[in-house]
Amino acid sequence: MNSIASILALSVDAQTVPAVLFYLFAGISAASALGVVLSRNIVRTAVCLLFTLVGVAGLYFLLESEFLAAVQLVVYVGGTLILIVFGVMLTSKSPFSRFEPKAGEVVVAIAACIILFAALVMAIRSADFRPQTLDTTQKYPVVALGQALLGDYLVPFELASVVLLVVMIGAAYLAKSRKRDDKRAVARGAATLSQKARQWS
Amino acid sequence: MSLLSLLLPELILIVAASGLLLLGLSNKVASRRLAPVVAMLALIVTFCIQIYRVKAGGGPTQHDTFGGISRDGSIYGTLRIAEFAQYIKLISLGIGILLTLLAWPTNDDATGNSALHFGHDAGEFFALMLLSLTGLLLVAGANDIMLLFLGIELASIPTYIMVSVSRPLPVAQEAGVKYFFLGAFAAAIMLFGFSYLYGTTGATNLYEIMLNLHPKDASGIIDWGTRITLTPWQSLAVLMLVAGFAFKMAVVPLHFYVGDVYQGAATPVTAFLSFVPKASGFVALIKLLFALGGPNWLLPEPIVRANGTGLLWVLAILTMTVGNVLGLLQYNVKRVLAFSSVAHSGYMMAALAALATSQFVSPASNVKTTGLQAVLFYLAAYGIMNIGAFGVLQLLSARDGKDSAETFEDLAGKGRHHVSLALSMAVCCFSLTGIPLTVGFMGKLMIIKPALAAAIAKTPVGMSSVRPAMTWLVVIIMINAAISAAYYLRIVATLFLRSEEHAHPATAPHAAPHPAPRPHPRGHHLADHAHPVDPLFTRHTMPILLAVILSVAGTLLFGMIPSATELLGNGVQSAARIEGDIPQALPGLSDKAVAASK
Amino acid sequence: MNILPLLASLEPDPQNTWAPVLLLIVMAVGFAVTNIAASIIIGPGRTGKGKEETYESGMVPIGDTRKRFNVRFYIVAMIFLVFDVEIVFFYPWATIFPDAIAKGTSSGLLLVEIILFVVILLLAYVYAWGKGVFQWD
Repeated sequence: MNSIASILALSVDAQTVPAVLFYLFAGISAASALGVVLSRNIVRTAVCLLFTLVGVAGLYFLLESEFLAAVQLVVYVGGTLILIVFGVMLTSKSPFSRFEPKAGEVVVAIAACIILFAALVMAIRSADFRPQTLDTTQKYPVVALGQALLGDYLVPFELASVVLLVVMIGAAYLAKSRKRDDKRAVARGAATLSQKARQWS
Repeated sequence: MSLLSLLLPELILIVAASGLLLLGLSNKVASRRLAPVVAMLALIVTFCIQIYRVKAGGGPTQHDTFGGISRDGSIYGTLRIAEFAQYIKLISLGIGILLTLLAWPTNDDATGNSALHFGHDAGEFFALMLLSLTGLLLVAGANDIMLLFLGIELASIPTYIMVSVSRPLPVAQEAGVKYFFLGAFAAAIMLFGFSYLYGTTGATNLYEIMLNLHPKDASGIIDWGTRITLTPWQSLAVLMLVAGFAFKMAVVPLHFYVGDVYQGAATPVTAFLSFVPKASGFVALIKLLFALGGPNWLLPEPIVRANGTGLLWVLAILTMTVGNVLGLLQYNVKRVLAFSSVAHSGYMMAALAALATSQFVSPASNVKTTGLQAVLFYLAAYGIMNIGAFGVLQLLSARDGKDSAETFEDLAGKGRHHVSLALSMAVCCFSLTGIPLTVGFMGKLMIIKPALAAAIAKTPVGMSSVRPAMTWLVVIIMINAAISAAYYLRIVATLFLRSEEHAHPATAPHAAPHPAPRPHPRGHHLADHAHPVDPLFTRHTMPILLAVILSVAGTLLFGMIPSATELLGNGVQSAARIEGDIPQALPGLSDKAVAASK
Repeated sequence: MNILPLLASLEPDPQNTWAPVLLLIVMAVGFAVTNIAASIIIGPGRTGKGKEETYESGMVPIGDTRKRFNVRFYIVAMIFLVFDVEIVFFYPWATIFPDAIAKGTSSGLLLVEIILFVVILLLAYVYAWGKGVFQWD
């Protein structure tokens, strides 16, 4: 038993474990991102997106920004993705709705991707990121974040709440059971439209 | 100044918007009548506060800053509300008042007016309007990319909803959805750009970004005299940011949504769309350019090249030309105004392109000062004259008498019955074209001035001349003004010269390919009687009429009376001194800057 | 199998904080793969038409499982997301608030700031409620 432990402890030194984890998470993200793009089945696409987002959360953990990782899991994996799946479930006519891009669209998309990729590679090769010095005195980095959000960034912080309010109004507008007269008006409008279309065609 | 008093206009607007939301819960007619009054009161109060603040503005040292619970003694926080911001806020609120008048629910059950049909959602509609304006105000004061982004989004997201709410028609819903998805996409690109900007400069504060981008000596004195070179990564960030702003400004590669969205939305909302998001985009772009170029506007490579061309130059020329040519091809007046709004963005971009070349000409100050002033002046001028055009469209009824006018057929011959309205439209169209004695002429003059100054200025020794690029720019602005005259005069000519009988659908050649979506109003119709002449002064038209009168008066006043023009010009002049108060080394930041440079 | 020495050998080394994570991932994936593989290998492979049917409490299943959902679900999910984001903003505040109370510095201000944040969202909640967003029909 001890021998296994010592072998494991020997073989995994400080650099390799994070490196292995990085390649694991990055690999999961990249592979499932490819899956998102290449899969023709919309439900599979959503599941692939789940793994992409989880992989990114893992990368955040590796970068020791636990809060961001938690946000990634809570908001994106737990919220946005559910929203996307719901969107799929309530819009698609057939449960197995598939993307059938035309050849031209595929060519344009690939061209756009290649251009973006080339630009990113060019940029990365000359990257000069200024690493922010981490405040290592704080035991919990979230404390620093809290101080920043409620101190220097108070105005954006409160503004975020106002933006959420606007989003809520939009959601309520979508959800609002349209009043009967509204429905009639829409029907009338549509009737007028089709009548006009006939008249002018 | 404390934070609360600093943000007083924004706070008033947010509180009023909150009240309006709660008002929106009631379905009573009285609450719908109250909603625009509340919005108008809030806007007038904030406008007065803004007038007072602009008047009290004072010298460049008296700016207001917020460091919050200050970070390392930095004097520049997330907000910086100096003359530039005060000016933008002033014109936004002033034009906000006119926009509220256009959207006033005047029909009997207060569910909308001749062009707008928001049904029971009056409270929400005006709340969204105020929140969108709040976003613009915050963009004007933002000194931090986080606040800048949130401000742009707060200015944009309400407009997506407003487009859908504005009339119960499939076209409006389609326009809203289209606008929302494309807007979200643009926001994502913009955010991507912001993240790279943060990554490559290590700061979210625009001043810190500017400091980190510029070289500095050992004692922390920043060298504002050197043109920086962007790394490819930074260039990518700048490109993505310009793309994101371009969507808001409706600048050409990202103008494609304009036609459908502006046509689908109700006319007052279209007027709103053509000012608020556009202004937020331009303000954000100016802030970005300022951070890149420093107080001397030494803008780096992809934005402007040594021969005067570059990103801004190309965008300006494309936007003007494409906007005007597409404007010529439209049959729907709202689409004409939509594409003309694209073209007007192009004129403002032309002024920025000229501003960017100031570093390559010998007396740089002339080009530099006039460039920014031109954009700021034109923004106000466009806002004022555009509202009149949309207001007249709202007041003239469509051919079927049910709704407000939208197509050329609707306008045909109306000038004979409504001479005053048609004359108002003529004034606005002349102004939009840039014919003398109007504010549009002064605007065009100011737009051409920096480009012309750069074209005739001396080239310093050892630099390539910007003369060809700037000469072309001037020539293309002229050509575009001529093209735009064609479709603006077509509007005026349709009003006066074409007869109404001529405009029968069977004989109208333009109507055939595009059946016009005709909104169907609920409630009272503005002109549902057989008599072709609508009474002009009724309870139903008063607010809109007031907006048109104010707009036409402003257009003529600022165009004809020299003292009025001078007043606006002075405001613009002080607003354009956004570089006036940058110390050579910022206290508190210099240590950090030195540490970063080592 | 006694795993404690293994863990003990990993824990004290501060350089190796990621090793347990890697180990956990390997174990989790290994467990799942082993179980699936084992059930394929060991399990009896008797299938038939009846066995492949959906089990519907003994009833004969009708139609497809995947149907179009009511749009209400989407709205509820959207509102959930809004408040989800709000909770996320709470967390940094909660981490600094006790400290501020202990030090007696600006805890009142912090409270006001977060109350303002909540009130704006509460307004959104009241509005949505008033508009009947939470009514199912």
